Amino acid sequence: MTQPDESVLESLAGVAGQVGQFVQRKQGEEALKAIEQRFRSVVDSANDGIVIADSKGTILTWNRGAESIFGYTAAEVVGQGVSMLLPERYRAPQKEGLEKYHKTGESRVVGRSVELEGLRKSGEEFPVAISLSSWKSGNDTFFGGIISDITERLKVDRIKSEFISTVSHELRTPLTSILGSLSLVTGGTAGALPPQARSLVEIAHKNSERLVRLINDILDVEKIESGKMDFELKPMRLMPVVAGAIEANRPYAEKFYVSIQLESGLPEVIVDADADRLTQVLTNLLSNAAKFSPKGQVVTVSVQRKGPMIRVSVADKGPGIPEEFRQNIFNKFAQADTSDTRQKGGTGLGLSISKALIERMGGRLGFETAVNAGSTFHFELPEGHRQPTGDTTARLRLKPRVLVCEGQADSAGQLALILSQAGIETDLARDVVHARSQLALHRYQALTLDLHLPGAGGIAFLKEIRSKEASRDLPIILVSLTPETAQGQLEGSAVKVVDILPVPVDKDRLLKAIKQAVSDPRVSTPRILHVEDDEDTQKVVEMILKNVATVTRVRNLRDAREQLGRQPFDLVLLDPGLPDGAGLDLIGELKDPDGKSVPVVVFSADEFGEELSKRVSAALVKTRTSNSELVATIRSVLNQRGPPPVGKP
Amino acid sequence: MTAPKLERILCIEDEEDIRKIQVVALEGLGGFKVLACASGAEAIQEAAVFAPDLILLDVMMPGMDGPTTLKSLRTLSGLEETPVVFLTAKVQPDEIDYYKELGALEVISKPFDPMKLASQLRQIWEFRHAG
Repeated sequence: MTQPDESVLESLAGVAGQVGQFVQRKQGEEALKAIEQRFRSVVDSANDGIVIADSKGTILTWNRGAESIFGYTAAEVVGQGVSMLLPERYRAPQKEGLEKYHKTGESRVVGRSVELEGLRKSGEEFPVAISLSSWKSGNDTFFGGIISDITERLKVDRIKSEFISTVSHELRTPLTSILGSLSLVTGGTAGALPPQARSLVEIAHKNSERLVRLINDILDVEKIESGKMDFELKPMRLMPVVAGAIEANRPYAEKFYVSIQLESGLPEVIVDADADRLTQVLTNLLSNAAKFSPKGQVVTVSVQRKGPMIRVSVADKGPGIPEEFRQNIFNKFAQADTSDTRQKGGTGLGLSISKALIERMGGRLGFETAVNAGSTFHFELPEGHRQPTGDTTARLRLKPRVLVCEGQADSAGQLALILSQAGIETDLARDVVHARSQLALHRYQALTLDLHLPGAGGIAFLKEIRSKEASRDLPIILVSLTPETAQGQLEGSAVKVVDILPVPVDKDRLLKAIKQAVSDPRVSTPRILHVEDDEDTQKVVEMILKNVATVTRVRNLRDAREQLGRQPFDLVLLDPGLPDGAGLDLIGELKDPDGKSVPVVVFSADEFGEELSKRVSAALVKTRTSNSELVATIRSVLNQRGPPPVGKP
Repeated sequence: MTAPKLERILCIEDEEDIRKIQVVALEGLGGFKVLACASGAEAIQEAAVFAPDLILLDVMMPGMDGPTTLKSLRTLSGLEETPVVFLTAKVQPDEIDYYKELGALEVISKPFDPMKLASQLRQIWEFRHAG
């Protein structure tokens, strides 16, 4: 169940590079042999398949791992094409991909990890994870792949998730009957009960509810730990959520003769969070505080700003947390082991779940306590800067938006402060999971990255960002305590960044890097969708428009619609005669995310009437239009659209 | 347009105890006319005659499970569009998505509170006719 280890591949590439250098420098055969030996032993001892192929995809090296995965010996495969390791359906795309890579340097697989099916010698297909990289030695290109068989991993994942679903079902079925009956009896549907019987039934009812909470909590823990808990992070006003949780927990607190008061708040403050999960955390903290408060006491809630963070505190005047228990308080099934706390009816999982939930939302959970004086539990979430309901207005705003991925609170605060003072919208991500979800939710103009971001090795996350379509060209600024080390890690990884800034960050240098990033031509260049079934025309047009726009090519209506759903375009260049329908059908559908229509320039082999010309921004006939006319027309249409205009037509 | 009234509920549930609780909750407390069937097969035999306004359907049942039962019920005259609410302990997010894909109006998770079941169904019904 091992993932292909990219660092092994990198070190192999490094070793291979060293081999080349040593040969060039002719520094003696001994050194060369030593390196060769190192190289061999790394390759041979790996459990993963390690395969090296030349520029044509002919296999050069085949290790023991590959032998046991695919069933071929080295003698059977060396000299053969790699396509023999793939099921038939992948072979043509693999060949095309290889040709495209040599021509353009672009690839959907090189430099990243993909999961697909492999083909064993026996003819059996099986799931594999492949990390592919390429390097040059002299004029030759080589490809290295680390391959793992993930059959077992997928099977275990499936069994685990089926098991959990079944267990939860099996436990809940009898509980449904027990809890249902007790609820009906205590609700009086079976008539009034004698006081003693009533109190006994209430005990049974209360404890069945506790058992249900326990099952739900165990399922939550499993979901969090397996990364399967869904979070819908979006900007929201914090106070209504806090107020709602207080109201919902008031009746529970009243059972303990405890009241809840909101002491201070920040009416307008916005956080990026999942409302249901946030309510879950607040409920946990409020119910704990109520349970442990002496009769007649008040639980106070306050919301305050702490630098770039918003802190929500829940304070009780209970017995406090015993010294020896403090360090275990967030552990699962951790309850201070006194008969008093055992009687409080908790599951022992609440705080552990709350902590995990808050961390997944980019925040942290902590507490202060004094024996016999009370405890205050608080969580902090990064303050959001986007309006919750104004998604459209947010998009229309011209402020650049930057994602700060930073594990250290101090650095995060510093970066956010500098950026927001410069009028740049900033979102914070505390760890890789949060950063991923932010990148999935929003479009950023730049990203700052702490290479020690919790959750994954910084370089691996950097590569992951680069491997996703939406963030392939996103300008990245590294922020590091050890910039030299960061530089070293970057070298050879083929990942480019705008700058590497040492901590503490120099304000001017940061803003300069952001300015550079925001004006990065790949980001500010207009995007054109070219819908055209003739590949040669597509290539020519792309070349003509090379300095004007980034062109995305599609060959039919279906792909055009898919692209339009995936990313915004500034212009659509359309051939009306498409294999799967009239290209003109697309005109009515072309709206950008703000509902504004996207201009269409028709580029057709046929003459067309006045009717069509009225429906589009411009209509050109292929053989009658010179290259410069095409460029001029497109520039003019783009400039009309603005902002920002690049000059009048 | 006034919404039709929710009066007749078909419950399909293999656990006898849970069926009894449903009947108390919906007939006794909710005032509905309830037909409780112990299996998909039984429901298919009785449903057309009973002509329910709404179907409350369990998912995990021996023999014919909830989704299969639903597909068969849909072939019966008069039940092509009867609203269905799943009542189930299997409520992982992907499971809920699956029930919705099958056309479930809502999913109520087990354990449910029988003191509230009738009002839950009324709300679902009203919401459907309001929207």
